[in-house]
Amino acid sequence: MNALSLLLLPAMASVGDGVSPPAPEFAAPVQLVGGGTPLGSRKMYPSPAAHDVDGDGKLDLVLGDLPGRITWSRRGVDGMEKEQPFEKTDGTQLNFSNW
Amino acid sequence: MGSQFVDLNGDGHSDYLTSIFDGSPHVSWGSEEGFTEPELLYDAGKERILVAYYWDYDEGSHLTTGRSMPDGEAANIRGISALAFDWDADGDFDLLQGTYEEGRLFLQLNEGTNAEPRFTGKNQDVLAGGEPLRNDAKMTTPRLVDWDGDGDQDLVYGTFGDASEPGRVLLLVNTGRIGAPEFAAPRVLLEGIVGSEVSEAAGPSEGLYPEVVDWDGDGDLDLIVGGYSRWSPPGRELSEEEQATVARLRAREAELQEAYAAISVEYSDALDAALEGKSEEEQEAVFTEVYGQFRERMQAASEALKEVTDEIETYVPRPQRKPLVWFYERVQ
Repeated sequence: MNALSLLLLPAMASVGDGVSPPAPEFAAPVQLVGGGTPLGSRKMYPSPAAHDVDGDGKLDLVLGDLPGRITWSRRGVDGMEKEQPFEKTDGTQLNFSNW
Repeated sequence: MGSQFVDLNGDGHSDYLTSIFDGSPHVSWGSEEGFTEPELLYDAGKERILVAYYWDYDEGSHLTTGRSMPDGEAANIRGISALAFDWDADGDFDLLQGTYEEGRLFLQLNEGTNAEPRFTGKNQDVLAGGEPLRNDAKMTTPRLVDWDGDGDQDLVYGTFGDASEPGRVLLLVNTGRIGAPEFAAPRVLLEGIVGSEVSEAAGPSEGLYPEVVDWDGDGDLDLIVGGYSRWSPPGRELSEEEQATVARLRAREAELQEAYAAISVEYSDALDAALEGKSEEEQEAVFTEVYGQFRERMQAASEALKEVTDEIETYVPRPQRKPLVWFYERVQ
């Protein structure tokens, strides 16, 4: 499937439960970039979670990964900012030490 | 790791909940001051919550147990994602665990409260279309959101896929009621972008980790998807002479790959033999010694291989695979 076919995702059949919503459609995917660097590009299997980290009322993006090191990108006035370590109370990076 | 911000202990602060490849949920507790060092979650019997396969920190090895499985049988499946959700609508968070192997989803009920949880220690299969949910493409992470706007929580999850099959994001509509969810069979919400004709990064291809959120603030749920993108940069047209050169280089590359694999096997066998009967304290020295014996040969083989692949790349661009994050705006 290419980008164009994603843009024009065909209607998906109902599973017969009678309450299925209309098939959603998405615009072509947009790569997220923070501070000029693609988000997640230094991670293994980036896993995003939206959360207002700095309490400014806007959702930021927190990224987990396979090794378990958590980073985040602040959503600023001009878009996403450079990915940075997500820090614990002691000032060190939140790290789940996966392997 | 599939993760979630959720006020798990009900103290008014979001906590960070996830599972990792040790097979268990971990939580970093949030407070006014920030987030704590992660901790394992335990059930009412003071046992570590898990699915079946797990890393035993005391033993220093992977083990498996059936103590939490629905049928009581040990199995080689491990939870790698966790999601808190009040499944039975009794006012506290229950726990969902998604597995890597077999792509299953298990529910563990909380018979306590958020402040004093009492997880049962027994997992139940989450059903999809009346059958236990499974997916051979493995589950990355589940999400529960009101996708269809009918007031209950629908299930969205991602799959890994592999070289032969793209990862996907799937939707399971909740046809039950609040306190007793029932999910219809999965259907594809999004399919990873693969194919030799893909000439630039155009979207995630495998390992699709979805977040479902109104990212652009227009009132509907969008997808943020992390994963590996694969594409093949277009190459230039090659002359006959260049094509012959590439064919010769490819043959040489195959020879060198074979040679490198043979050294790796030799090294692995030597390491196994040298580690036989050695204590944990002695093992590090054994690794160093055996690696020292093979280092020069392995490096030489690796450099020779790199030289050839680099030369091939001057004619034919190498296929690309990069971890990236994508925003899919829902437009309907």
